[in-house]
Amino acid sequence: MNILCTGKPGDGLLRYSYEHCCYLNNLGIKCRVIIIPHPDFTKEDYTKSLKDQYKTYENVVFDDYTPTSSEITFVLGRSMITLPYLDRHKYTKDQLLTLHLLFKNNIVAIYSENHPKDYPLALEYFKPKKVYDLCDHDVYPNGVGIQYEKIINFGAYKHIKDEIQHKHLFLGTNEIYYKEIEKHIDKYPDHGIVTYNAKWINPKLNNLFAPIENILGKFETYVYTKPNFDPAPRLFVEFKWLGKNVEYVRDKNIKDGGMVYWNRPLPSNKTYKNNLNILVNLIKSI
Amino acid sequence: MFNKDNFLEASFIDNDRKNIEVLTKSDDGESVIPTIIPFNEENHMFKELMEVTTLDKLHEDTYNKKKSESELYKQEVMRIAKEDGLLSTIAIEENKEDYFSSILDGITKKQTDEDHLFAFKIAAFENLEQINESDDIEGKKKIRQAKNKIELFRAIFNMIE
Repeated sequence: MNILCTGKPGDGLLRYSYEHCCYLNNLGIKCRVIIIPHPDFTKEDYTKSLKDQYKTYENVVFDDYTPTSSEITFVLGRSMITLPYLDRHKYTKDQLLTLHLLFKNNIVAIYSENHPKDYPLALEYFKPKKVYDLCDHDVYPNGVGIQYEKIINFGAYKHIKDEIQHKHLFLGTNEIYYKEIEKHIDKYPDHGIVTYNAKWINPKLNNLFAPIENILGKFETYVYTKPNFDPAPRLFVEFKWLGKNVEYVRDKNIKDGGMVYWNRPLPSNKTYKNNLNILVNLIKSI
Repeated sequence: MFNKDNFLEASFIDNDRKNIEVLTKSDDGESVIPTIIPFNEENHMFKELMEVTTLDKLHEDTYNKKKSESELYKQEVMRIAKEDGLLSTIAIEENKEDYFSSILDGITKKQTDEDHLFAFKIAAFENLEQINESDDIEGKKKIRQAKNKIELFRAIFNMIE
């Protein structure tokens, strides 16, 4: 099976993709992550991102892959299909050929609603044999597919060194997140905002530019402020897993993965295995 | 009713050439008014028309208009045929030499044109079952890595022969 990732190196989807790859290979299901780098990033950005976080770095392929027709393509979100369709003119011919070959096969896709109008057009363009949907219905009550949750595979993580540098961590990796953080930041003088060196950042604040090595070990508390739809949050789950503090500083009426994951128990090996078995059974049935 | 100031054009609208459509400008010049009149030399409107044009010109304009409509019709048919992928079928059925020589040109000219190579590769992977359904990874790699059309077609023929 091929897990295709067309996202950015800081994205949760890259991590969920790699973690699935590790787990499935451990089960004996031959699997690789195929990364088609976002035009703004290099292969090295992705490699560093994975090597910093996980014990292993293996079964990762960039750009150029030729699958057999029986190989399944797995995507951790429908946007992994829609975005390359929308950006198809930005890719090299090699990348585009890989995308065509992978999406021509059977696809297993986790439901998401980022581009409801463009997704059908993307399928029409890539013409897959068949798409098998998985869906976290707690996050998407009107979604389609077999119930499936994106769960972090903590077993693949490197040891987290405790080297506290600031009390409060904020995630401001795009302008919308950053503007929201600015509304709250005066209450958190000892803070670090993980962001990019972009024109919309405030130089008076303590900006830390991603990627940051051992990020989970450098803060005491994560302040969760994401103002828009968050389908499968990772950072607050990671902080909870480490026994660290998390502050939920966002509208609790937002119906998305924020509150769903907040209320879910921390994943155990058993819950992880039971959830992955849904995927494994689906793969075996195809 | 018809005069040199408001007259735009006139043409026969039927094969028997018994009726004429006359187009004139409205008084404010904002719209076009069509008027159908009979081809009858005794008709007062026809007499008015003959003051701004001639019978020869009327026949000539009718011919040109039909020709232009026919061209537009052909273009539309071609567009639909292209959209539905029917062009090659028509060409093959008609045994058109032009079609086959254009295939040869497509293969032998612009050997390293990236867009051509990409289009041929996609077509091979998507349309040829012997390639699409094959587990011969090495053969497929040769197709995708081909740097010119000769290499590409050699790799394709190796897989389908």
